[in-house]
Amino acid sequence: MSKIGETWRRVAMLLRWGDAARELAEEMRVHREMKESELCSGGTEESEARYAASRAFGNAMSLQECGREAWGWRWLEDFAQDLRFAVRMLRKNMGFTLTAVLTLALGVGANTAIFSIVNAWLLRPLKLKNPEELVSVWRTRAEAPRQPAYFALYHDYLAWASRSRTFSSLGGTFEQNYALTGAGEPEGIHGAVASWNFLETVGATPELGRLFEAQDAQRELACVISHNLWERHFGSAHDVIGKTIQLNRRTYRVLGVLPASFSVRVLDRPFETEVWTVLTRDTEGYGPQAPSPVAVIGRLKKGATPAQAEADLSALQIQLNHDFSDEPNDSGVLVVNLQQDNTRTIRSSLMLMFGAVAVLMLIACVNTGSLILGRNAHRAKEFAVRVALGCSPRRLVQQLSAEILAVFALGGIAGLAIAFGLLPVFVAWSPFGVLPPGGVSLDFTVLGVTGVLVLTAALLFGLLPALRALRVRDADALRTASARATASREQLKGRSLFVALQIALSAVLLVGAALLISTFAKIGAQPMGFHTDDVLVTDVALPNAVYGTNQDQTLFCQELLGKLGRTVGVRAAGAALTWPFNVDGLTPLETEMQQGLPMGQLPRAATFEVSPGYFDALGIPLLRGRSFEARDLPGSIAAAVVNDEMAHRYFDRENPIGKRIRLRYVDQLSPKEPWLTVVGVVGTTRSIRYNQIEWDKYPAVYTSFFQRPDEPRNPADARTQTMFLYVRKDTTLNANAIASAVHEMDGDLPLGNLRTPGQIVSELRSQPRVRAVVLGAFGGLTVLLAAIGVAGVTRQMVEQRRRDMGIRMVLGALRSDVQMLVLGHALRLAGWGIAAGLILAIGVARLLRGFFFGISAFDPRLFGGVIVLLAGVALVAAYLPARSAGKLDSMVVLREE
Amino acid sequence: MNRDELLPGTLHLLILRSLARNGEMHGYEIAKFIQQISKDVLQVEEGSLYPALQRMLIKGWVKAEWGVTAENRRARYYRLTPAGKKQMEVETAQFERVIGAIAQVIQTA
Repeated sequence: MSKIGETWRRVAMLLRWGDAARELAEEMRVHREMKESELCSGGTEESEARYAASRAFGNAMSLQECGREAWGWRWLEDFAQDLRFAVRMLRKNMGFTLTAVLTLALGVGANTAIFSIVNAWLLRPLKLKNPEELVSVWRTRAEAPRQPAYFALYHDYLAWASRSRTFSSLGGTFEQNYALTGAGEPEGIHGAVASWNFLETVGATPELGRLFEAQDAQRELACVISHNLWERHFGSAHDVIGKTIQLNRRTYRVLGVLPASFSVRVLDRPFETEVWTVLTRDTEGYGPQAPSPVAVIGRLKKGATPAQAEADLSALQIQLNHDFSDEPNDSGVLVVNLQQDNTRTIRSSLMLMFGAVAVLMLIACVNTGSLILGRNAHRAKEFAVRVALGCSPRRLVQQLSAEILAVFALGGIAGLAIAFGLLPVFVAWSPFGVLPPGGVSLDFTVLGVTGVLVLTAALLFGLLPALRALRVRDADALRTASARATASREQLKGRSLFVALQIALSAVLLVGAALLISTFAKIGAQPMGFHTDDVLVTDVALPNAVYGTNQDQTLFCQELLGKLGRTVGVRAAGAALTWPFNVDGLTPLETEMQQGLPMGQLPRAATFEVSPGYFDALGIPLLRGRSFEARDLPGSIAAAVVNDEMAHRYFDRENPIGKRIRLRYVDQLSPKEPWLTVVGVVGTTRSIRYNQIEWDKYPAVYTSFFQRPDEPRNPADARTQTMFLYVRKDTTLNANAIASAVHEMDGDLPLGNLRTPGQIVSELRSQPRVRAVVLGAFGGLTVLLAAIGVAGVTRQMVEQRRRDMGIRMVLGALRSDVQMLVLGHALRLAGWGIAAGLILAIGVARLLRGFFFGISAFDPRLFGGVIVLLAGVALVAAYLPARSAGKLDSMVVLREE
Repeated sequence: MNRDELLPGTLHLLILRSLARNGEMHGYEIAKFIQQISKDVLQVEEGSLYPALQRMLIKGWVKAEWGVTAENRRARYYRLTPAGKKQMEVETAQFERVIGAIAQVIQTA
C-alpha cells in the first residue's frame, strides 16, 4: 500500500473538511432512516422506531466524530477547538491578555528590529561572488597588531600580487573624488582608482558593457560607472557605452555599468563608489616603485584561510622591508575577511545592542511567565472543577497550551508589527552613518529566527510554569480552603522568584545604560579646543589638470581667502590640506637639541598643513608668538606653529619660540625635510583615532602649505588636491556666499557639504551615542516592565492573604500596618532582585570596559542610582495594591469562606 | 438481541468480502448483508461501520460514490479498488491461518 497515496488522501480530506464531514453526517442520517423505516414496517410505532434506531446508532454527534477520527486529523481538530476556547478565555480577561501581549510585543519587536540590523551587517553574506573568499589586507602597527594602521604601499602590493601563493588574485584601489563636469552643475561624486583586476577580483559582473581588462592600463582613460550614476546622469540610456564623460577636467570613456546590487566597500567607507577608473602608468605616484598607499582586497585560493594568507604575505613582507627603504619599520601584515573588515567600527556596538536586546527579551519573557502564573493561580478552582467533571488532565494541559500559544503568537505578531515600524525609524536615524549593502529588512532569516525565538519563549516561559501550576493537586483545591491556600502560596513563591529575576536583569541593563550614558556625557563635556558652532567647514577638490603646481594651489587659496574675508558675515577664513578631527598616526620629529636619536626614540607629533587665517577661522587661540602670515612664502624661513601640548611635553619649561625642529617621516631613513623654526604656540585641540571613542590631545606641528616648494604635478593625471575651507561667521552670513566665492573663481569646482565642526564631531561620536541611546531606551522599557511585574505579584499577594490581613485588622492592626506589610513584601522582593542584579552587573561591567571612558566601571554613584531607581519603582508599583489592602473590610473578608 | 462480538480486526475483512461478493453496496446494505449471511450472529455496529469505512477510504481499499437506492433515496455506494482486492486476499489468508491454528488448539486440548 503506498504511503504517499494515503497521505495524499488524508490531506485531501483536510482540504475538503467541511464537505467530507457533511457527507459523512448525511450518510449516517440515511442509514438511520433506513433502519427506522425497516423497524416501522416490522410493526413498531414510528416514534419508538426512531428511538430504537437512535439507540442502536448511539449519539450521532459522537459517532460522526469517530468517523472523522479515521481521517487522522483528530489532533488538529482538537487543537482548533482548544484555540477557539483559548481566544474566548483570553477575551474574558482583557487586562491579562493586553499586558502579556504588549510585554511580549515589546520584547519581540525590539529583538527582531535589532536582529535584522545585526543580520544585515554581520550575518547576511555580502552580495559578491563567493564572499567568504574575499579578504582585506592591511599593514599594522606593532602596538596594535589586529588593527589596520596603514594602507599597503603600491610596490608591496605589486610584489604580493605576483609572488603570493595563497591568493587567486589581489586587487588594489584608492579613493578618488571626482568632479563630474560638462553637463550642467558640476557634481562631486565618490570615485575610486583601481587596478584593472580589482572588480574582477571581487567578482563583479557588468550589467552593461564590460569591466576593465589588462590592456586598459595602457589605453585611453576609461571608467566603469555604478548603476545609480547611470540612472541619475544618463537616464539609464543603453547607448552610454563608448560615450565619454568629464571627470576632474579629463575625458574618460565609459566601458561598462555595474548592476544596482553591486557594492564593495573599503574599511567602513560610508558611501558607495559611483565611478571606477583604472590605475595606469600615468597615474601620478603609482609607478612600479611607488610607495603610495593602496587598499588591497584579495580573493583566497580554494581552501586557503586568512591566517595562511597572512603568514604568506608576512613572509614576503620581510623581504620587501629589506628591499625598500621606505617601509614603515614598525609594521606587520593583517589579513581579515572582507565583511568583518567592513564592520570593524560598528561590530562592538552591534554586539552590545544584541546583548542588551536579548536581556530585554528575557525580561519580557520572565514578566509574561509571571503573569501566566498569576492568572493560573486564580483558576485553580476552575481546573479542579473541570477535572472533577471528567476532563482528562491531558486535555486540560492541551487547552492550557493552546491558550499560552495564542498569547505568545499574538505577542509575536504584534512584535513583528513593531519591528516593521521601527526599521524605517532606524534607517532615518542612521546611527552608523551608513547602511549595510542591500539595506536592512525583515527577510526570511529574520522571520525564521523570530519564529523560533517566540516558540522557545512560549515553551520555557509559558508552558513550563503552566504545567508546574497544574501539578499542584487539583482535586485538593476543590476540597478545602487551606489546601488551596497552600497551593497558591507555592504559586506566589514561583511568581515572586520570576519577578525578582526580572528585577535582577533590569538592574544589569540599567547599570549598563547608566555607564554608557555617563560615558557619552563625559565625552561630550570635554572641551574640544576649537569652536564647534559658529564655524562652517567644507572642502573643494582642485584637479591637478588645472592646478598643476603648488604655486597654482597657493594662488587659488590666497585669492579665495581674500574674497571670503571681504564677504559680509565672515569673521575669519582659513584653509588646510589636512583634517584636524581624526588623527591617524603621529610623525617622528627631532629638535636641534636631540639630534641623532634612533627613530624609535624620537618624539612624535601630529602634523597639519594649514594656511594663514586657519587658527582664527577655527577659533584656536594663539598663546605665544605669532601665527602664519602672508610673508611666510617658499623663499622665507620655514615657519612652524606648535600646540601647547607639544610645548609642554617636548620643550619642558623653555620657550619654544625660535627653536628649530625637523620632521622625520618613518619612510625616510635619512633626514629630508627642512628645519622648521617655531614662531608661535597655539591652544591644543582634541582629535579621535580610528575605531576609538576617546578624544585625546596630541602634540601637533602646524606648517603653512603656502611655503611648500613649487613642485609641478603631472597634468595628465586626473587626481585632485582636496582643500578644506574653514569660515568663522556671524549671524549675517549667507551660506551661499561661500559657494559663490568659489564659483566666481572656478565655476567647475564642486563644493562639499557645509557643516559645522560640531556636526562633524557628533558624527565621529556616533558609536558611543548609539550605545547610550539604545541602552537608555531599553533601560526605560525595562523599568516599565519591572513595574508591571511588581504590581502583578503584589496584587496577587494581597488577594491571597486577605484572610490573614483581615484577622490582623480584627486584632487591632492599623490600615497603615497592613499597607506597610504589603509594601515591605514588595521591597524585600526588589531587594533580592537588586542584590542579585548588581552582582551580575559587576561581571557585565568588567566585560564592557572597552566601551567606557572617563568613568569607573564600578562608579558607586551609578550603582547607587540604579538601586534607588529600582526600589522606587517597586514601591510605586506596589502602592496601589497596598492601598487596596488597607481598605479591606475585615468583617467582609472573614465571612467570605 | 443476542450479539456475538466480532473478533478484533475482522470488520475490515467482512466489509471487503461483502463488497467483493456484491460489487456496489451502501453502508446499510453492508450491515444488513453481514447480519443475514451470518444468520443474525454477527451484527455490525453502525458506530464502528462508518469509522471503518472512512479508514478504508483513506487506505484506498474502497471507493465511494453517491447514488440512488431502489427506494429513490440518496446513499453513498462503496466499491472495492484493486488495492482493496489485494488487501482482502492478504487478510483472508491471515484470518484462515489464525482460525486454523485456534481450531487446532481447541481440538487437541
